Amino acid sequence: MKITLTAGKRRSWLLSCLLLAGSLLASAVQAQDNSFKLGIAPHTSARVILEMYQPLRQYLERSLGVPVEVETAPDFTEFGRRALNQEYDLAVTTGHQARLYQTDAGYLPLLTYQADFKAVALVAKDSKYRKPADLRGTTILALSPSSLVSLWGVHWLKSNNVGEITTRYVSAADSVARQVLAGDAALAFTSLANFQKLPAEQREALRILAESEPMAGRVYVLNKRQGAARAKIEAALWSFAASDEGKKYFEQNKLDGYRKLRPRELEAMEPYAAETRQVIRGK
Amino acid sequence: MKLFLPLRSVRGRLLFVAIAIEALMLTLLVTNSLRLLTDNMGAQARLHAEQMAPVLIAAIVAPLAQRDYATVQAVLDESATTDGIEYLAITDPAGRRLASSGWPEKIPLPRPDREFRLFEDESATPRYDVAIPIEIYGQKLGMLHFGLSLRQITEAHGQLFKQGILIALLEIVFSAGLMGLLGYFLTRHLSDLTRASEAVAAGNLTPPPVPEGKDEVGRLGAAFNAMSRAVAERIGDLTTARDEAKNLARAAEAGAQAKAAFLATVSHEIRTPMNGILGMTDLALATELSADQREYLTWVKLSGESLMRVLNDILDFSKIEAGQLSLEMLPLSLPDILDSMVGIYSAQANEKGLSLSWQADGELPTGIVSDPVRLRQILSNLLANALKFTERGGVDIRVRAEECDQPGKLRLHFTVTDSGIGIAVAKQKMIFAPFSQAESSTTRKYGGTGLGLAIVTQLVELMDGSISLESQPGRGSSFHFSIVCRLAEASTSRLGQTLPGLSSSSDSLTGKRILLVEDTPVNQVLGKKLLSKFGCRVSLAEDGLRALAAMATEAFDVVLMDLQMPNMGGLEATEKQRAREKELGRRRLPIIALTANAMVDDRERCLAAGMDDFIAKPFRADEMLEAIRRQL
Repeated sequence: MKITLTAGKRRSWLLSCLLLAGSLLASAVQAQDNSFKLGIAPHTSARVILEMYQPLRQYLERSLGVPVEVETAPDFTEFGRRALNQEYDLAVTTGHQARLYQTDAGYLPLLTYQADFKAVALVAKDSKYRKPADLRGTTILALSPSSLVSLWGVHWLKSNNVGEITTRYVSAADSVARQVLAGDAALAFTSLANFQKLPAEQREALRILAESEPMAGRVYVLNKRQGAARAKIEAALWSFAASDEGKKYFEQNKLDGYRKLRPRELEAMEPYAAETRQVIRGK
Repeated sequence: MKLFLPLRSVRGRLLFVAIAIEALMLTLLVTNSLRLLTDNMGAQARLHAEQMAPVLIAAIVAPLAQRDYATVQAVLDESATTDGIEYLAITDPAGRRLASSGWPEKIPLPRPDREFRLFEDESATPRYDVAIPIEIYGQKLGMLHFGLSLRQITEAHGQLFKQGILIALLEIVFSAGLMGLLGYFLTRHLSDLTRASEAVAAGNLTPPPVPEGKDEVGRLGAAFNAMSRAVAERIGDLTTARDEAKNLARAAEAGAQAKAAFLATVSHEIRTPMNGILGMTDLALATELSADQREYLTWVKLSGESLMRVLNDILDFSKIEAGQLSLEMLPLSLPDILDSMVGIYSAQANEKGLSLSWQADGELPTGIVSDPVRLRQILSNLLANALKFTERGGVDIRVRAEECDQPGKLRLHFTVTDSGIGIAVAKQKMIFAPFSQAESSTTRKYGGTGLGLAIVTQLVELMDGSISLESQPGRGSSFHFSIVCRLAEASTSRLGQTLPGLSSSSDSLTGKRILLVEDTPVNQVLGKKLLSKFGCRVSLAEDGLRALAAMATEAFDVVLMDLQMPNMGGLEATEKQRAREKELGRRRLPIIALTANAMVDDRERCLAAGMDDFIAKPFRADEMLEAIRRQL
């Protein structure tokens, strides 16, 4: 069969081909972009986060039938900025940031862990720091200005009138203990969960100088664009909690499972959320 | 197959083989070195890539998970400074470039190589492009791309190749020169040896000495010199020995010739008077004589004949000893010979009251070729002996033909058996020796020279046969002998043929003109008397010259020509007569040799000179008359 085209028809035919190719390419990129982004706040090192959330990622991938990618950020501030920029489909972050995402970006709070989330102030066991006043004039470590632990620590220092403090922010949460034990800093703020996951010898060489009240530590918030799939996603999370790998996951990380958010639990975090908003905007 | 000229010499071939081996080995060395270098550096490059990739991935996993692309870029920028890394890049799982170092932004990243290859494409940049997925705990974070520069390896490969080729070429050139020089020093002495050997082969048995030394070639040279000297000495000895042998042979030949000449002379000088004695005796006996006169003359004749037998035996033995006796092979009739032998000796047997006969065992073949004269001589000797030593009974001859292992020949076996005195076993061998008889008393009683059986033995051996004896004293003897004969051929010779029987008639000779050429007076008288007695008209000529003159002027029916005569011998006269006949176209005048030269070669010389027949002196009257009749 011989097809003869005029010059004009040839141009339009070529254009059609190019458009078709472009739309196919765009679809491919879109498909890749449509992977389900599971954002985890950088409460510990990126490697630990990736390892820790693989069981959940794989479970969600199977349950939702879409590729799920675990992502984190260099620090809490950047994580918050990305969340506010709608870059995550499902974010796991501290209560105050969850509140911020809810109010400022329309995220839908889903659930949290059963285990209490507490912030602790760690000093070397044999150090001279016995009371907050002993910390005056020292250097302390925090994860990020916008992290819940850091915000609690700032409040704790302020409430105990500890001044002339130099604060250094460390991206890797699991390295603060080593720095305190090495004498690089007098104190470090971290979560109780992180402290409990430290190696025994490190843990025994440290002393908890102060401990917060239980707080909404890690809250699952769903991006509003996934609102239609909320039930499915929420069901998948509960299903994960009931599964063997879920139970193992909770046991290994001492998280005890999921629980629903208590009424006004997030609203209680509003003060911290406000501070975080300022930090993020100031960035 | 023709060899290239330089390869014809051992040195050239050795040099070629050595250079070929060296070139091969150097090629293997360079190739292997290149391979080892390539493999080693390639392995190092791959190891580098394998070691670098996990480190890089470990460094960028966290920033990738955090989407901290600035950190990723920083890591890449720092790592790209590593020696051998051409570029580094990170792409996300969708293939979008997240960060890169050392590779232009606008140019797509090269596709990773499927396998490590150094020289996949000569035009392409020598680089190993690798892409390794960045995956942690089952989650794909992206892809690490990097290009490992292989330029260092290819440059090292190229340099090693060039240097290897250069070194190999230098090595080959140097080795060729060195081995050529070495070969020259090793083989120059061999060349000297070759030239010396060629000189020896050309006949120069004392070539100049070749160099000697303590090494193998030097020792070879020394051995050659020693051999050359030994050969020269041996050749000298051989030359001396050869000259001596030649001298001895010449002396022996001269001696033999002198002996033969002496024998011929003795024979001639004895036969000539004996011819007169016997002939005259015959003539005298043919006249009217008293009983005593007849008896005395008879004794004269018998004594003369005995003397002739002795003379013939001595002449034959001497000829055999001198190697001058040769057989004259002619067709013969065995029954005729045996009949004639019995006929000849029957009178002697009858006188002693003995029987004499012959018989054949089986059929006798015809057409036998042998020497009839010598066969007669053998039989004659054996019969004479048998009759001599037998007083009662008789003598019997038996003959049979046997197959012979030689093609075209047969063996005749004869047995002469007598019932005589016999011979003791201890004496049996002795009788075949010359000048021997069984008992010394035998000579006294029976006479004889003791040469007969020795001659018989020699003749039998000449005829490829053998002779043996069975005998017991008092019971007689049996002499067995065999000879090898040829089967008859077409050609025959006139001489020696069995002659037709004598005709006792003398009518055919009446009036025949005979020229008797003879210088000896007694023989002139004898011949004239004898021939005249049979009605011949005889003319005399004293020598060849006179004979020629007579033959030129007178007509003769037959010429009887003596050989040894003054002025001109019989042979020369015959030759001239034949020449004259040919020249003038005259008919051939029959010439019969009549001579005391009784040797075989005398017959041949007579025939060669143009004579027609030969009569040896002393001759019997009937013998001469028969010869004349044959020519008429």
